[in-house]
Amino acid sequence: MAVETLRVKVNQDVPRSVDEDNPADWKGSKRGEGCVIDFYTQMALEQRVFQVRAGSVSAPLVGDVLITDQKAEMAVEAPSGLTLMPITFNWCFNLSAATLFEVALKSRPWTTAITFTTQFTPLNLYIGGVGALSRAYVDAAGGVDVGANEDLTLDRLHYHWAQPIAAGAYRTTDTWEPIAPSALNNRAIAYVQIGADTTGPSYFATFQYIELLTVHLS
Amino acid sequence: MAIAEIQVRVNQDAPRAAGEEIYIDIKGSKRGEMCVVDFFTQMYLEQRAYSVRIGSVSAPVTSDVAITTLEADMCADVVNGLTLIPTYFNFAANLMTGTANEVGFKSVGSASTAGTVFVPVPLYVGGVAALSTARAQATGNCTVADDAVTTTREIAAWANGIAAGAYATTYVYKPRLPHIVNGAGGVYVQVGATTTGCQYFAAFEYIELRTANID
Repeated sequence: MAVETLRVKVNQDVPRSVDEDNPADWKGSKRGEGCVIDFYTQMALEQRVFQVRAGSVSAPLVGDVLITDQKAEMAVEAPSGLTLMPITFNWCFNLSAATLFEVALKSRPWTTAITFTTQFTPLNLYIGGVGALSRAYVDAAGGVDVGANEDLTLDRLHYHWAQPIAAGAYRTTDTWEPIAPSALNNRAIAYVQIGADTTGPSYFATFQYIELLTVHLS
Repeated sequence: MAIAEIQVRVNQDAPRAAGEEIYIDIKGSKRGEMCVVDFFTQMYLEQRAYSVRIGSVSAPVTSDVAITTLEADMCADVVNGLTLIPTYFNFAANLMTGTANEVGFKSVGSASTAGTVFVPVPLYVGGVAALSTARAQATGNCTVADDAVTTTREIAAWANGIAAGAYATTYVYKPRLPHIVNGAGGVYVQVGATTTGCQYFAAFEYIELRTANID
């Protein structure tokens, strides 16, 4: 039986720029560790990660008053043949004086078309990167209608935050980062709901997702 | 079918210092695990990571009052041909009496135009100087591109509608997946509140690479 010792090529001082489909020696440190890059970072460097955001610094959006089943603030839809993987979600309130606050990120298989007033062009996290094939929507106060009531047997609950009292002795910022991504394909929809009773909270929010052709996964 | 046994070279006691472009056996532990180093750690060890900070322990800075879109307290920029990858952001307020408190860390495809120059500090002490440039000037005195949701990326955000109370006024961002600022472009930090700006300390870190090494 042959015995082979793995070797790396030390390459710290002058990073390479090897063209597509060419072999490249495995990069190593001066100490001989093999250099590796994680899936998420590589996806971002390949321009496959997009952001949907709501609220700019001087203009937070205002959430829904009493979230109803199919009303969302933000949503993204994967056209046929595409798979989306939601991977981070950040939100914060800069005014939350009402009660019964809720923030949620969910996904569902496609049943009906999304109804919206404002389409949002997803931002590539790689500045200057390619445009998204997925479609996104942002509309405050539950202005994005995901087309069907939330169904416990169909809608995946990725994240839920709730607080029954007005801003006080608790954080009004949170970030969701799953240990591994869900895969949404075949026109599946991911959506964000934010609301409270009587007065919607003023908020900023973003979520990021990886976009890949479904054939690259299954 | 040929079958090969894969070996690593145990190398725990006397780390090697191999020269550039030399092939060496991959490092292994005494137990035979293959040793690897992740992208972020290696970039820091290659002297490609820098810090921009504001506020020293005895002298916190005071934030903006009612942030406006063009104003930031800190920023870092890269020109065409360079790429900046933000990796860390830390904010801590030690006085926060205003309301509608906000902290934002963002990226945009154009460089800042005003503000006190801050020379990025290599996170490898004694490391090479940055090719990127930075600014740090509190109270929103760095001028950056307009925060438009259609062009500006939000890297991280923290907010609280009320004055400091029984909640944390310290925030740390570490990316699950990084933003990639392909120059010309930059990142910036905005801190503000209504009526009275908060007093705070902040720092962010980033990796700097030539764009050709990425794309």
